[in-house]
Amino acid sequence: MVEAFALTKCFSDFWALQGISLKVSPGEILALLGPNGAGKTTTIRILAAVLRPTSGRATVCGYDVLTDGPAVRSLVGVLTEFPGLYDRMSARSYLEFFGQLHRVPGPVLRRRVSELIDYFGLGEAVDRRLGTLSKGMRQKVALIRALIHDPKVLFLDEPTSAMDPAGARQVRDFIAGLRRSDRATIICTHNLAEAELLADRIAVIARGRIVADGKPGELKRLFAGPPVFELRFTGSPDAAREALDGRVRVVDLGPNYVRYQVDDPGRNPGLVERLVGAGVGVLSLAEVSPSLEDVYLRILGGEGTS
Amino acid sequence: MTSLQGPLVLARREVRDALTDWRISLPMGLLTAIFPLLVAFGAAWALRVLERLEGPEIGARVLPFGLMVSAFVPISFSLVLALESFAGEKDRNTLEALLTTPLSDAQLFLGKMAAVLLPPVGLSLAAMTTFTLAVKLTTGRNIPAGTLVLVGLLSVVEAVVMVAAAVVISTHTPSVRTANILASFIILPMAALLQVKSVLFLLGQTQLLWLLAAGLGGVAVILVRTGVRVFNREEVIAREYRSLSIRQIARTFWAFVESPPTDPIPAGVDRLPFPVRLYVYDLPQLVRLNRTPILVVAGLFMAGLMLGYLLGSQSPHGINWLRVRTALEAGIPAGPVELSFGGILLHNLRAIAITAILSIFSFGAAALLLLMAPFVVTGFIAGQLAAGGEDPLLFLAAFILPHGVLEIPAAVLAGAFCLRLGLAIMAPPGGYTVGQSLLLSIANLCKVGLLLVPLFMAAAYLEANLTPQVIRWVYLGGP
Repeated sequence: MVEAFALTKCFSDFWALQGISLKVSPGEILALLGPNGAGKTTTIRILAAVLRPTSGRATVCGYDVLTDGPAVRSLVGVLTEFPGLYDRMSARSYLEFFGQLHRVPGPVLRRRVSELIDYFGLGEAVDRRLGTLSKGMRQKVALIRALIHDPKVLFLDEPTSAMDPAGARQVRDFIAGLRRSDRATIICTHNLAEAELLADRIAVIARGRIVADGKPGELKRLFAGPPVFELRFTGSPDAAREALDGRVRVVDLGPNYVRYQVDDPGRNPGLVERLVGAGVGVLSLAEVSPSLEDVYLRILGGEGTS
Repeated sequence: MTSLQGPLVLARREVRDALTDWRISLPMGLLTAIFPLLVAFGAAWALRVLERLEGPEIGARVLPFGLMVSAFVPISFSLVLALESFAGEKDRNTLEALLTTPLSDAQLFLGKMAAVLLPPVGLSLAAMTTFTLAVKLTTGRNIPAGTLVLVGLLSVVEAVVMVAAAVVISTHTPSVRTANILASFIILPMAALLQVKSVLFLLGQTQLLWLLAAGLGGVAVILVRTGVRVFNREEVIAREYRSLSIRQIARTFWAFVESPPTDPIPAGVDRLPFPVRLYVYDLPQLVRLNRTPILVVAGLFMAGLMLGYLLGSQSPHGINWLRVRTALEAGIPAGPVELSFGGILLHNLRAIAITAILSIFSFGAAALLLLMAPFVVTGFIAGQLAAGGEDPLLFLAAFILPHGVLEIPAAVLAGAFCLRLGLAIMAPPGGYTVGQSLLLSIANLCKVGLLLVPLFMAAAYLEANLTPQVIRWVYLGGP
C-alpha cells in the first residue's frame, strides 16, 4: 500500500534522507523511531506528497508521490507534528472546512464529524472556539482532521504527545483498531512503549537512514544481545559476585539481587549450584525481558538521544 | 471538485476569519466609512476655494484626487492581510495542514490571493461610493464615469501588486516579523506611487494615469506569476531547513563563479587554469547562453534611440546649433560629468552598479529603462539637429561612434545581465531556489564584469581623448 525505494532528500547542503526504503501493507502499523532530526517527518512529508524526493521513488496505493501528488494527498490522512488549528474557528466548522477541501459530500461529512467527535469525547467542545480547548483536545481535533475523509493511509506524527493518559489510551485503542479497517498506518513517535504496543513493525531512523527494521520481538533478539537473568538471593553480595566472577558478565549487582548475561541459558543450573555452594541462598531466578528503550539506544549506538 | 471549488472554500474561510475578527474588521470598517466622508468634505471646501482662485479647470481636479485617496486607504489593508495569510499561517503552524490537502499549489495560491484581495477591493469600492455620494450631496457634482473606472482599476491593480509582492516576501521569510520588516520594499514604492498618482491627478494628466494603470497591470501580472512559482509546498517547507548563513551563501556564490556555464565542458578546457578558462570558455559561453536577453536589450536600446529621434524631430524647442558651435570653438566645457578618463569610467561603472541593484527589486525593469535613457536622449538630440537642418548621422558619428564602438556593446551586455538579475527572482531555472537563482545571476554578472571593466576602461579612454578630437575635426575642421 505504501512503498518507498531509496528515497533521498537534500535541503541546500543538508541531506535529510539518505536512501530510505520501506513497505507498509494494508492493515499494518509501522512505527518510525529515531532521534530529533533523524528524518522521520521528512519521510512522512514525502510519502504524503507534500515534499518531493531528491531521488528515489515512492507510491501510495499505486500512485506515484512525484507525479500524482493530488491523488496521493486525497488518499492519505496526515496528523502533523503541530496540531496547527485555526483558533478562531469552532471544532465543527474547522473539521467541515477540511472535509470540504477533501471533497467529502455534505451529508457524509456531517455524519462523519459527529461520529468522530462522539468517539473521541469532544461532544461538549465541538462548538467552542479551538483556541479555548486544552492541548489534548486540540490534538484530538487534529487527529479527526486527518481522519475526516476516511483515508486509506494514515501518517501520524506523535499522535499522543500532548494527551493525558486517558486520552492517549483512547487514541491508542483507535489506532490499534485501524488494523481491522485495512488501512496502512505509519506512526512517528518518541514514545517507545507506545510503539511497542501498537506497531507491527518498527523502523529506526538515524541520520536519514533506516538502521534497523523488524518486528519488536525480532529487534530485541537482534539488538539486545544475550539474555539477561535476575537472581534474587539472601546472604553476602560479595560472595555472589565471587561465585559468578569470570563465568558470566554481571551487569548489575544489588544487596539481594544480581543481573547477569549468559549466552546459553542451559548454564543456569550449574551457576545456581555454584552459588549455593558458596553459601548464597537462592530465592528466585528469572529472565529479564529487554525494554525497547534498551534496544533503541543500542541500535542508535550513540547516534543521539530522543 | 472543479478547479475553483477548492480555492473558493479556502477563500471563504479566510474572508470570514478576517471579517469576524473585530480587531481587523472594526478599523477597516471605520476607516472605510469615515475617511471618504472627511476627504469629500475637504474636497468640497478645496473646490470652492480653488475655483475662486484658480478657475473651474483646476478646481475640478480636486475631486478625482480625493476619490483616489479615498479608494487607496482600504487597498492598503491588503498588504497586512496578505502577510498574515501567507507568513502568518506559516508562523502559527497552520499552513502544513493545508499543504496535506489535495489542492494543488496554484489552487492554494489562488484561494489565498482571493481571500486577501476581496475585502480590501470591496471596501475600496464602498469607499469610492461613499465619496461619490458625499460629493454629490455637498457640491451637487457627479464624478465622471471614466474617472470612477480609472480609480477603481488603479486600486485593484495596486492591491494585486501589493498582495503578490507580499506572497513573494512571505515565502522567503521565516516569520511575520521578518515579513513585516521586508514589507518596506513594498510600502516605499507604493508610497512613491501614491505621490506620483497625486501629482498626476492634480495636474489632470488622465492619459498618463491610464498608462500608469496599464504599467501597474503588467507589474501585477509579473508578480502574480512570480508568486505562483515561489508559493509551492517545496519552497514553503524547505525554508524550515534553511538558515541564513553568510558562509553558506558565500560558498554557493563562489561555487557558481568557479563552475562553467555549461556542463560537461569540452575536453581540454577543464585542464585550463581558472582565469584562462574564464576568458576562453566561460565568457563566450555566457554570451551565447544569454543571446536572447542581449538581443532584447539591444533592440530596446535601438527603439529608445528611434523614440528619442522622433520626439526630438517633433519638438518645437530646437537646439540652438549656433550656440553649440560657438561653445565648441571655445573648447568643450565641463558638464555635470567630468570629461576625464577617471570621471567617465566612474560614471559608467556607477550607473551599471545602480542598475544592477535596482534590477533585482524591479524585476529587470531598471535594466531596460535606466540604460535605455541615454539612447533616448541621444536620439532626441539627433532628432533636434535633424529638425534644425543638421545631419544627425554626422552628429552620431562624431559624438558617439568613436567611443560607442566599445561602450554600446558593453552597455548592451551589462543591460542583458542586469535584466537576468531581475528574471532570476521571477523565474528561477528548474531545480534552483530563488536564492540560488539570484546568486547564480550575480555570479554571472561578476564574471561578465571581467569583460565589461576593460571594455568600459577602453571606451572611457576613447571618450576622454579621441572623441573630443573627432568632434573638433568634424565640426571645426581641425583639432
